[in-house]
Amino acid sequence: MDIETNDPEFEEIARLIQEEEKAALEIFRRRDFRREVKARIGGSPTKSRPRVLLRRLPVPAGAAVLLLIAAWAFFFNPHPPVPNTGGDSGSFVAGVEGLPGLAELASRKGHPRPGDGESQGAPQSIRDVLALAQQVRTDEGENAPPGSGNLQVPRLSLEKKMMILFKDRVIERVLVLIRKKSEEA
Amino acid sequence: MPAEEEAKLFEEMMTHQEAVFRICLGFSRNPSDAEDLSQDVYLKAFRSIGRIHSPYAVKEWLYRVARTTCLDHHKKRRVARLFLHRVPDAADGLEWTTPEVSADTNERLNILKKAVGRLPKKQREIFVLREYGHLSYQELARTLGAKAGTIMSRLNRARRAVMKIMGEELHGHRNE
Repeated sequence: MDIETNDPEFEEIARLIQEEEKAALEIFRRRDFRREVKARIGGSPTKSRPRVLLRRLPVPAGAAVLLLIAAWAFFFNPHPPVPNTGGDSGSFVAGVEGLPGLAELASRKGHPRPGDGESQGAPQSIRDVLALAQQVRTDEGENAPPGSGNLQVPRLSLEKKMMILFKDRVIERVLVLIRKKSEEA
Repeated sequence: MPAEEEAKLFEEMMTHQEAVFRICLGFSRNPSDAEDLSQDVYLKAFRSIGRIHSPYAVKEWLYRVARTTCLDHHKKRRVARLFLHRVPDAADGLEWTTPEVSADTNERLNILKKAVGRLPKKQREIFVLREYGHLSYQELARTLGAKAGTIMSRLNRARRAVMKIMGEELHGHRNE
């Protein structure tokens, strides 16, 4: 059954509401509502739309900026991390420069020796060494006998194998020395 | 939106100030709170006036702003009451006293306020918008985004609940 305002019980409620409204509206009409609202509008900052936008902007914008920075650092980092770039890198470079085979190879290929150059710091020298090593590897690949297939796995002579082992041992010893030095420091 | 159009819309909104005040009165405890809430409604409405696309939609849009403002206010009061233990409950306080009405009416009005305050949110909003705001069923449906049938049955339940609570309260008062 639908209760309409002609329900006697609800009529009492409707009458009460009317009385409440009447009394409240009398108070309301005594005041200048329009002027008060305009005063509040004048005193408040202008439209909220930009404020709301500004309030909502920082979280997604911050996240986007962080993502962009992370992506940039990942893909375009101009200074990739170089292991052991501190004072010990000098001794490492010195150790590598002392390699007899490497020096000989460098002079043979006309490649600058690691550490050469005017403004080269330790990381640059390491890069030179790596570039030279890569060069040697490529040369070795080129010298591989024909018919070795697309894999280009070079067949090394015993002498070359021994040379590689020797280099590995030297590098290992140099690294051990560096580690000891750093532990002492 | 051009300033002229804004001013025109604002004037259109101001023609509904009494309806907005009545709605706020239904949600709040007294005329003073209702006036503060009405001002808040107009402030909010003015700030987002650019969202109105048609002057014909002003009235219902304003009612929606009034409804959300009052419900937010009620929620804030409830949270403050929970955490601060300072703000009295709208249903507990007997604040409605005005010399314009008799003491008996004042008492009944306070009971009515309690009853409305105890209604579930959906029933409370529909009761207030219909009985205080005098919205038609179509306006209620558009303002609340519900079907006319839903509106009618919900309003019916709200009225019954108010009558029941008021009956219990009045019975309790007589026994005291």
